[in-house]
Amino acid sequence: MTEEMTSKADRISTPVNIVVAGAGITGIRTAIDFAASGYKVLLVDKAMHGGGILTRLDHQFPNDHCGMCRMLPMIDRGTDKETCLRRGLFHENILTCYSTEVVAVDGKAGDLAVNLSVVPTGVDKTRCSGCGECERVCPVMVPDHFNGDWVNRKAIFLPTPHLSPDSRVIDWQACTSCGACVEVCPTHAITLNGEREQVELKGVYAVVLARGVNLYDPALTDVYGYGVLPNVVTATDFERIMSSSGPYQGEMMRPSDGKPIKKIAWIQCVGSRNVMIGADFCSSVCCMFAVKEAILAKQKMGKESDAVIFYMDMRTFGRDFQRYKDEAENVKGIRFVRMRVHSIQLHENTDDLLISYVNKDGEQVDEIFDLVVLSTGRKKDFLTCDWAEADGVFQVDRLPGFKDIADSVVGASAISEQVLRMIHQQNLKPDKNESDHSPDISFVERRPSYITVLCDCNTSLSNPIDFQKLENTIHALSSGHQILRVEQACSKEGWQTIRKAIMDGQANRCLIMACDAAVDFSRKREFTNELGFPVSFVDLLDVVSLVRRFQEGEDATDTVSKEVFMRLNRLGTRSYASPLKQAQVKTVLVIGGGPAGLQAASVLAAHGFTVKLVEKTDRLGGKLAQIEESDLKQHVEKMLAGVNKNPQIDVYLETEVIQTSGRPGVCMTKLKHASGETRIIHHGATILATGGKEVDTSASVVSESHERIITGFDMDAMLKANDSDLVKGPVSTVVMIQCVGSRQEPNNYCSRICCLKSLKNAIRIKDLHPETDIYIFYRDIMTYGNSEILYTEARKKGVLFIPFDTDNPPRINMASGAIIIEGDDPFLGEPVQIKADWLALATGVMPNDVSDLKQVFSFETTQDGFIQEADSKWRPVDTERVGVFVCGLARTPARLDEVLLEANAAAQRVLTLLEKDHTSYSPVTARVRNAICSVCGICIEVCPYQARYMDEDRRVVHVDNLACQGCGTCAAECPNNATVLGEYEDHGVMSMIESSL
Amino acid sequence: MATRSGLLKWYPEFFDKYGAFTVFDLLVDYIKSGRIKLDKSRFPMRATYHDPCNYGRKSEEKFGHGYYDEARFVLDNCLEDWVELFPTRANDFCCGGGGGALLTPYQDARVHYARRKMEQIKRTGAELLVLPCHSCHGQIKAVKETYGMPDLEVKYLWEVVAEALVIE
Amino acid sequence: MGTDTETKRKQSAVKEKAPLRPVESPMDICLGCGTCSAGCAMTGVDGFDPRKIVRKVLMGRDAELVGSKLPWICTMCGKCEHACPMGINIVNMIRTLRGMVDRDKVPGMIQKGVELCLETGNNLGLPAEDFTFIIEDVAAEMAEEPGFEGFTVPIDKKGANLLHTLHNKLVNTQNEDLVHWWKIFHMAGEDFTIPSENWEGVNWGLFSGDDESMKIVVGRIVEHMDRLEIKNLMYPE
Repeated sequence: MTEEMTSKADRISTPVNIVVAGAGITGIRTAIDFAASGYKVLLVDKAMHGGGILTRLDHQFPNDHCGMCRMLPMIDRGTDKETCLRRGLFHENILTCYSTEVVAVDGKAGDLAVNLSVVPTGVDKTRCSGCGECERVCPVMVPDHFNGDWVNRKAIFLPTPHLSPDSRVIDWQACTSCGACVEVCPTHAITLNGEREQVELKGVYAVVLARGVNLYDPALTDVYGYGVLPNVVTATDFERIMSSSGPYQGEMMRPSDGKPIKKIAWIQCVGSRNVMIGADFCSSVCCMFAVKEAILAKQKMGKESDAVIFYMDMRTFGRDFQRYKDEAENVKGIRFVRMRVHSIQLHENTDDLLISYVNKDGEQVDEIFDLVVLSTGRKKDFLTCDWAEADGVFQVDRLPGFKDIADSVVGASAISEQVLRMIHQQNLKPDKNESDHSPDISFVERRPSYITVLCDCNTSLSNPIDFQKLENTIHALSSGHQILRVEQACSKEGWQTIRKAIMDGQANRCLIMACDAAVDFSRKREFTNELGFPVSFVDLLDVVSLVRRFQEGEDATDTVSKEVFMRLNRLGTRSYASPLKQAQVKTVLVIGGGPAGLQAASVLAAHGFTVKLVEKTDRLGGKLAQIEESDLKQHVEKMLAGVNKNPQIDVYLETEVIQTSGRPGVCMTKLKHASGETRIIHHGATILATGGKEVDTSASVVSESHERIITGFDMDAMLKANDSDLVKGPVSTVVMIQCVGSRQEPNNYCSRICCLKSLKNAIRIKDLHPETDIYIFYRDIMTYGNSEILYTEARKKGVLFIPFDTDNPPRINMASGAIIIEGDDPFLGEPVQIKADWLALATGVMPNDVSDLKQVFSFETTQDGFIQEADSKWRPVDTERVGVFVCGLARTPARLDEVLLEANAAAQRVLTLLEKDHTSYSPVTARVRNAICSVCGICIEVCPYQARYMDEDRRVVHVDNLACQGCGTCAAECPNNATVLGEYEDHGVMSMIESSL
Repeated sequence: MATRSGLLKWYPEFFDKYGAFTVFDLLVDYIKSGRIKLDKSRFPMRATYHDPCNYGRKSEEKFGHGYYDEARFVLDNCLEDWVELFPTRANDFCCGGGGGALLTPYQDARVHYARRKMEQIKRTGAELLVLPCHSCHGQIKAVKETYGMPDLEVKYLWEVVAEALVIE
Repeated sequence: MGTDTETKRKQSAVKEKAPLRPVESPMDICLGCGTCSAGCAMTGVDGFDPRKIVRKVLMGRDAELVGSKLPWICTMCGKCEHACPMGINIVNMIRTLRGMVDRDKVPGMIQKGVELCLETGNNLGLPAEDFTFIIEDVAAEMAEEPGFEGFTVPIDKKGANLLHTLHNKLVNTQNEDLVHWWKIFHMAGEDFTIPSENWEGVNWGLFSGDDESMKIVVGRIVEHMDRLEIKNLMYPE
């Protein structure tokens, strides 16, 4: 970006390597992936803001907080901590542009012409100071859709509440062009021209289409009264009711009359699982979304409150979801009622809502609620898009569907990998800014010389500041302090003035007193880069926020002086160390030769890496024989052949990893063959693809074995063998029991594949023998997403489904020699007894044992033995150990297609780490003062990033500067103050605190 | 309902020879063409309207059109102050008199059934209930006392029209 | 199924006979979600529960249902279906069950009405001369009201524009409700006629699940139109 550029269309017309269309979580993830590898990314969205649906949510399950920032690069990120993604996405290689659409894509992958249609925001970001006067004077009021239309907003406004304040936009539909904002704007940043502009980009390598899906509109059906009854809201509306940035400031008030909310019902599957509206799919996320909301709401509502979820199947198919739901039910007191609600009614002459349902005894019960939340799923279709199939366009999803955050992030990185593979194969290069941003050392190393900049905008503050007094205070610090008054420090003219003053005055520490607009991180980096300063030598004081806490008219001079004094003191204590650079080894160790490992190895080889593929057993392929989807099976077979022939992939069979050392980018690992022979390999990163296995838990329900009592896996195998009894028939009655040994302690997780397996088996049997009676006892059928059609098809073919609870599972009686299954049909309230020819027990999967590897790599495992990822939502294929990644069944139960996608995503994470020849790390890391360190090891235990290790020979604690994120946990825990954190050395912080007293 | 579905099923050629109209078609036509004139002031009281299942959701299901708007057009021409029930139109509650229920011996069940309908009506505060169905008419008249609404007037849609006729 | 472990599931005749709704979902597609039961005002009364009935049909337990009063408790209002996510034709299932009941076991007055109608042309069994007398009497009274002077009911008028049939209860106990349409017709100048025989406006074969009788009664309407050369039909109910 150069300084002359002002209009939005102009801003876009910079070199762009990759266009990402759709700025939801998926789009952001891919943009960050490309940006981290140095490519210039243009991230666009039709909406007026980025972040998609997630911008309306303050909390996500299972940890009930936000955490979006954890997607940001962990290595080589700025020293500044302004990285909240809800404030905006600030990355020097990413240009975000909203109200913008890609309208055409032409050409060939690697050299595309991309046409964009841009709606101007009306506000020139480079001029805007974020003062908000425009919004204050705007006379237009329209319903604020972001907040469920319960409150109004202006025609010039902040599209989401957390955005940095220079992101105001004009809603052209609402704007009356009265000109009030233009007149009042102190920086002349507003232009009232909302006409679309066309922009053509040339030479774009690829376009990523991350369009996501829209939410179903429940006003399309009359049964819920949405849009008629004010206390019926959607799940995303409800997020706003709970949010402290929402219409009620987080007070639990209901929309109709402001009455405190004490009793809430959630209705699941609104717009989903409904063939009458053509929605034969599950929206996948709404169940967990509702559980999360219920937990948070119950907390907020306090005692004597009630939260009820009406559902058909609680689809807790994620690894940790079942325990989360169990806790909600058993500890938090959320009630779950298995019933699809017909309608929402009014209760007598009130705004209270009445829901009728049938209880377990078959009686109709009426319950009264203050509020009803509709768990609306996705819309049936994608938004249309003409260029989706054009060459060079990479679609994140080929089928519409909602995904959990983790699955979205995995899908996004998998696409990033594919895009970069195309780019690497065509040998295209990132369009980098080649200028070196390393600070000018001679300049930096001189003793501190200060300049304080006072922005004159401050004079318009509601509180008087005595500038003379302030100047005196600063001069009193030392006579060498320079003071500069500028008009609009945030404008380009302002910058130039400051730069000139610094150069002329030979200053090397700078404090700018301005407002929020100038405090924008990306600008600060640009500014310091130009000056040749380290970022940490410039401090920006948001004086507007500081005086906001005063009464209007109250003198704020003393407080501001104190703050200035404190900041200058801190600047004086800052020192600078050049970032360290290190060459990287472009070899990747992949552990596990199943589908996940094969996929990761093949993909990385295609990017030009050398792969060391280590497999414990004597052959590759994992459970190839069991793969039922013929296309996936072919894919794995092809990979297997390719891996064996590929000179870039070294395969080590019957080999285990016994020791590793080094740091991300440079590792040394010892392998041991079954023969006892050992060898050492050098590599830059590691992927754990250790896989999993079926677990035969049938013993938990049958005391003795019987040749016709088999597992679902066995039944699948029999149905594939043409000469088996099941295929030959006749088969009178088949019974299947789901969740055998799954979803209850000790294996309290959903294995994801058993429902699908049973349904496929049942459909196959019905196809072979239509007269066969099939009964499936189940707890919750887990056909999430588009796999719902299998469940529908099985029912259509006459398979009868009988739900059961864990406290009343079906019993198997073999006393007479026959197999008799006894249970209860809750729909009829009657006992059932079925004599079965075959009984299939749907047993689940578990991870392979990784306890040895855990010792070697010191990653964490879950209580079930799955490898723990760094963050289950935002960094699903990273481990806490930087440079060690995980994918497939080793991490979570998954379908094969999901496993393969995870392998691509893990490969992408390796790319981000190893693509550059060198890596550098920021100076804000912890270090150890060995002289006073007692080598107690506490810091090693508490480090959340496993950045510390003990050098046993020298008896000292080392910090891995690449892994260290500068969080300060070690410094806080160290009993001797032997650990210090970069710029936050105690004496610096202490002098800051002292000066403020 | 019976006649229309029967004709469609067994005598589809009927529709080539003859025209066929519902009560709504006739009333709307008479009003729109000016063949009848109506005086709203005859009905100043608060009124409400019940959508019978047969003319509403079942017509919609069977014949692809529910007679909701036609009835409302007629009401707008006859009544000063009428309000909607909630729920209404396709999701309206059955009065409990459908399917020949008035003719079966299960009269307690039929009265019980009406509770939701009567709650709905009570909530509007209406003194007059208008409906276009003989079964619904019979059922509501039979149960209104039980539900504490002895003074609720129940009239056919065409009865309201007949009484609002301007005599020339 | 039930507690009989030996028997194979029977095929339900209801499932075969009941017509499908527009989405053409077979009844087997039922999710057991309970929407129908939650929305029905009769659920829980005398063991009535739409979901249970669907489930029993799916298990081939027709006989149990046909022999019970459950099909007759339902008002066939279709509220259950309105929200059914799977498009199951519950109303038709009920009507099919009713049709499977022996005619002498149909409860209440429905069957009697059907039989009388087939026999005499109206559900009351009222002879033609009595009918004509009642109609003319009520019309004469109406003609005394201002604005309706000279009104008579055209019976069996050939070439009339509109055929008007009557609900038997108006002819029977609720004579005062006969005049509403007549007043409207009079003011609108409508050329209508009422048949002297087979004037019944209701068709209880719809309720009893008796297609044969229903077809005969519908057929009479067609006969009127043909015989009297009437142009348009006003649907009876």
